[in-house]
Amino acid sequence: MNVKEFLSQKKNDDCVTVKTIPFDSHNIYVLYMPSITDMTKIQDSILAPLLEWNNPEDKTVDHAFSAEPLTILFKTKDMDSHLLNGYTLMLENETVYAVETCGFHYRAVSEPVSEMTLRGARDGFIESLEENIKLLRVHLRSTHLKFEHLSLGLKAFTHVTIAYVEDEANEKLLEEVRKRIKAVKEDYLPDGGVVEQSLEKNTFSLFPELQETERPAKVANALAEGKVAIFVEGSPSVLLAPVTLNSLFQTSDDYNFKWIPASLIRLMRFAAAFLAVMLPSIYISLISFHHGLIPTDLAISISKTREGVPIPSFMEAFIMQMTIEILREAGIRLPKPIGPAVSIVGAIVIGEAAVTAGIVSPLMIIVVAFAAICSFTIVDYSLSLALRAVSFVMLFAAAMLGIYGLILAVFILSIHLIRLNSFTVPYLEPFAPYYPSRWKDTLIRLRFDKEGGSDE
Amino acid sequence: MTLKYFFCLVCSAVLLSGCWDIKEIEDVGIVTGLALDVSEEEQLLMINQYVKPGQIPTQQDSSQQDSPYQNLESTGTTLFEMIRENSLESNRPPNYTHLKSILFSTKLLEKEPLNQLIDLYIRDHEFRRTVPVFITMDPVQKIFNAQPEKELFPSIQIKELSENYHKNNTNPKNLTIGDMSQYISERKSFIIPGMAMINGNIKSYGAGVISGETSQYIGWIPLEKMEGIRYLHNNVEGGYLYLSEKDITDGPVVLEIKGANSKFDVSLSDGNLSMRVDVEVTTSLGEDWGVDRNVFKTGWEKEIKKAADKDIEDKVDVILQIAQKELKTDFAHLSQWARIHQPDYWKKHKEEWDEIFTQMDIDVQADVSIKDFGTQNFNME
Repeated sequence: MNVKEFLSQKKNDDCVTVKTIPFDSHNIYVLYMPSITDMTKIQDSILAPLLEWNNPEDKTVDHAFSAEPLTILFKTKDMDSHLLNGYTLMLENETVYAVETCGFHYRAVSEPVSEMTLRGARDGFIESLEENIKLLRVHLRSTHLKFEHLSLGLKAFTHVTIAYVEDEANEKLLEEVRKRIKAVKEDYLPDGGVVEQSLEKNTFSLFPELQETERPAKVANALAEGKVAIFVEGSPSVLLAPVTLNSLFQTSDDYNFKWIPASLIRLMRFAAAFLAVMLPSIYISLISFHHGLIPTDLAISISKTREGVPIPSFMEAFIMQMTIEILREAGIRLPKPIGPAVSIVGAIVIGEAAVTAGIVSPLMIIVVAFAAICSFTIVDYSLSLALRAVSFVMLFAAAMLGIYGLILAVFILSIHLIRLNSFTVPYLEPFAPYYPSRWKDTLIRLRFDKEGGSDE
Repeated sequence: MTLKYFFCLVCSAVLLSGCWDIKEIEDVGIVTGLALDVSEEEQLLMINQYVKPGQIPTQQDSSQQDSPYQNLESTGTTLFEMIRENSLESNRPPNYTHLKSILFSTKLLEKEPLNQLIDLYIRDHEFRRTVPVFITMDPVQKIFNAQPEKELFPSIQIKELSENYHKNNTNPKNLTIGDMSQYISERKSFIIPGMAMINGNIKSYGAGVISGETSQYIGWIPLEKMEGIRYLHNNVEGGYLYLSEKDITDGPVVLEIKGANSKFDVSLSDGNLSMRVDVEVTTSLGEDWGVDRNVFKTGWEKEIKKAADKDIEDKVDVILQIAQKELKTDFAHLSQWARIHQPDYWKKHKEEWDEIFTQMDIDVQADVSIKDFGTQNFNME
C-alpha cells in the first residue's frame, strides 16, 4: 500500500482529520486524530510554520521545522500506530513525516497510595510511558541507563520498555527478559499485572516472580543494583526482575534511616510475616493437640474461654480468618467515604458481638486479629496475598495433624521456595544457595562503608 | 498423570487420617495435682485434682464462686486402674501434662516401697520428669482440700512454696520425680520435702527420709532441724542466721546469708574414714537489736562471727546426728565425697557404706564472714 492509498483511506475515516495545505508546487497533507492530539500544538508548531514558510530555495517540509523532531516513516503499519499514539503525520509526495503532538490526558504525578514511605522521594508513576521514563531519569541521570522499546503480544497493542543500567545488569538476565517478552502470545494485555503474569514461568506458584512498584526512586535503586525494569504503556506499575524473597521485604525507609533502628524494624517485619502465616495455625495445634506445651495458667484460662464455644477450634479459626479476609476485601471495594463503616461494623460484629454471644472465644479473636495486623506490615502486596493464602494452608495442616502437620507443611513450602526461580535467579538467594558474604542486606541492614572525612 | 496421582495422595492423606489425635483443650481434664495415700480398707487411695476452668475467677467477675478444683478420689490396687476409674465420674479424661505436684503420705510410704509406686510415672511419657514430689504426715485429703489464699489450687500452692528455698533454709529444695527415680536406681537414701496443714494453711514443714535400701519411709526431719541439710547438700543460696542474746552479749542479731559454699574432704587413716566439712558463708548484718554496737570500729564483728560459726556447726551436727545415729542412713549424699576422694577405698567398701557412714568421724568447720552492715547505723559516735 503506498502513500496515496493510505491517504484516500484516511480521508474516509471519520476519526482522522486531513488538512490539505498548498505548498509551492504540491500539496502537503496533514493528518491527525483530533480526539487525542493537542490542537494548539498543531496550530502553533505545524500549521503556522507550514503556512508561513516561504523560502523559495528550500521547499521541503523537513526544513520548515527547526525544533520539532521529525521522524520519517516508511511502513503503513507504523503510520497507523503513530496516528493512534497522537502523532501528526505530514504527507509530502511519497514521504511521510511524523511529529509528536500528543494530547492524551494523564493525571498529575502524585504519591502512590499503595506504597507508603516516611522519608524519601514522593513521586509516583502515572499512566504515560514517556512521562514514566522522564520520572525515572529524574532519579537516575546516567548515560549508562539504557532503554529498549518492545511491543508485546501478537497484535502488538501493548508497548513495553525495558530499562537497565549497562554493565550492571547481567547479560543473561537481559536475554531472558527479552526472550520472555517475545514469547508472549496473548492479543491484548491491558495492565502491568497482566503483563507480570504473562512473563511468569511458575504459574502455579503463589509467590510473585516480578516485583511491582509505582515509585521511580525504587526503580532507580533496583536498576543500580543490576535489575531490569519493565515499563508498560498505560500502567503506573513498573515491573522489576528478578525478585528474591529477601528483596520483597526491603523498603526505602530501611536505607533512609540509621542502620541500627532500620535493622531492628526490618527484623520485626520478618517476625511479623512469620506470625502472620503461622500464628493462627500454631494456636490451633497447641490447643487441639499439644496442651502440654502451653504454660499451665494459660492452658487453664484458654480452657475457660473456650468453654461453651459450640464449634471446634479449627472451624472457629477458619471462620474468623474468612471474616477478616471478607472485611479486607470489602474495605478495598467500597468507595472512600463509606470505607470506615466496614471497620466499625467489623469491630462490633467480630470483636464484641461474637464473643458476647459465645460463638467464638476471645483468645481466638486476639490471635486472628494479631495475625491480620502482622500481615499489614508486609511491604509487597503480592507477597502479602501469597502469605495470606499460605496461612490458610497452614491452618488446614495444623488442624489435620497438629505441630507435626505444620512442620510437614513448612517442609513443603521450603521445598517449593528453594526450587523457585525468578528469571534464573534462585528465589531464596542468598540463603539458599548459601552466600554468606551477601548477607549484609538481608535480615538486617549493615552500615554503609565509608572513608574520608575527619575523625572527630 | 502425575497430577492425578498427587491429587489422590493428598486426598487419601487427608481423608484417611482425619484429624488425628485431635482433642480440644476444653474437653481435657487438666490435672494439676496427684496425691497417694492408704485408704481405710488398706488399699491404695488416689486423689486427682482436676481444674474446673469455668470456676476460675476473672477480672470482670470477682464474685465468690465454687472452689476452682475438683478432687476425685479412687481406690484400688494399681495406679493405672485407678486413673481409668476416674472416667466413671469425670466426663473429661485426665491429662497429666500440667501436673504440678505429687504428694505421698508417710503412711503409704511406710507400707509400700516408692520404686513400685512411681513406676507408672516414670514409664508413662505423659508425666514430666520435672514434677516435684512431696510428702506429708497428714492425710492427703486434708492438704488437697485446702483453700489457699493466693493460689487457686492446693497442688500448685505446695509447689510454689518449695520454690522459696533461697529465702529460708528450712525449706528444702524441690525434688523432682526424675531425680527421685535416679536416687532409687542408685539405691541412695534421700529426703522428700514435707508439707503439713498448720492452722488451716499449707506449710512447708520439714522433710521425710526415704531409705535407699528399702525405698520406704523411715523418719521425719522436723522443721527446726532442717537447716543443716542445706549446708551438706551445698545448695544454700540465701536465708538468714539468727543469733540470740544467749549467743552474743548484745543481741539478738540476724545475719542475712548472701552466699555459701561447702567443701568436703575425706581422708583415710588406719582403715578409718574421716571427713572434714568446711562451710564458708558470706553474710551481711540484716537486723541488729544491739544499738550500742559501733560498726565503724574495726573488729566489731568478731564476736558475732564466732557465734555464727558455732550456730552453723551446731546445725550441721544436729542433722548429722539424725543421719548417723537415729536413722543410720546417708540421706545427705556424703558418699559421693568418699567416692571422689578415696576411690580405691570406695570400690572395696561401697556395699557396706551405710555401716561405715554411721561410724565415720565428721568434723564440721564453719567460717562466716560479715561483709556488710547496711546503709545506716544509729550509733554515730
